[in-house]
Amino acid sequence: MTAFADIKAAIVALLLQAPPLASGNVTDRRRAVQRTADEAIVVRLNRSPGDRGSIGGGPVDWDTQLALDLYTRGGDGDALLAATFARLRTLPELGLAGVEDSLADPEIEWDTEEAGDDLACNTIYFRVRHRTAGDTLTAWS
Amino acid sequence: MYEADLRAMFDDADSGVDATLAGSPVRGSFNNPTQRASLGTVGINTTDPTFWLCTADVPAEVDGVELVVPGAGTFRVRDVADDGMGLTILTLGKA
Repeated sequence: MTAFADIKAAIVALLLQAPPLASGNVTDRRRAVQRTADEAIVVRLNRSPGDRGSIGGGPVDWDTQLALDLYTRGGDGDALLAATFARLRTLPELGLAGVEDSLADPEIEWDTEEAGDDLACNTIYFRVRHRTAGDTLTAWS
Repeated sequence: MYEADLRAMFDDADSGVDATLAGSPVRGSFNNPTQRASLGTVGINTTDPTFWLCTADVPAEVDGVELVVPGAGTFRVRDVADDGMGLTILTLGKA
């Protein structure tokens, strides 16, 4: 498992810690939110520029951007946004080796739509600064 | 005569339903299919309720008024489209 997959899994686990956010509808799967769910969070890896430094075979430093799509049915999603951001702040290093900062450069995007339901999707973007070992994608330890 | 033909479209119990629009009785066709709203990256399933009725039955001020459809619920009119041929489509949202 790469360090990137470790990070995504750690974020999903963090959001599912009791009490779970979005009634436990937290996933990294790419499928539409079903009508039975009033809230849902989709965790996705966005992109990750890396820096190999000047030493061949040395560690690689990464700025991995993640995005959390926060879906809400029947409201503007502001409460879920606040709860999610607060949860992300509770575990600065995600409990993972090689992670220096797990909530760098946060950015929020808001979107709403009126259909049969009032819908909102607020997206939190942030960067995880971390290191992988010896020219690999395996977490630094 | 033409309006009578249009009204006949809603006579059938399968296609027509009695409803209440802004407190007045109307008859038309109610549909509420599932659609996917393209929010975020994966989208979210929702509904797209509409009510078709004769334009002659539509009150002058209909935007935002309530439509009650027995067995389906109470909705708020959020868009009005006159087809120019005697029918109007009300697009509905949560009341």
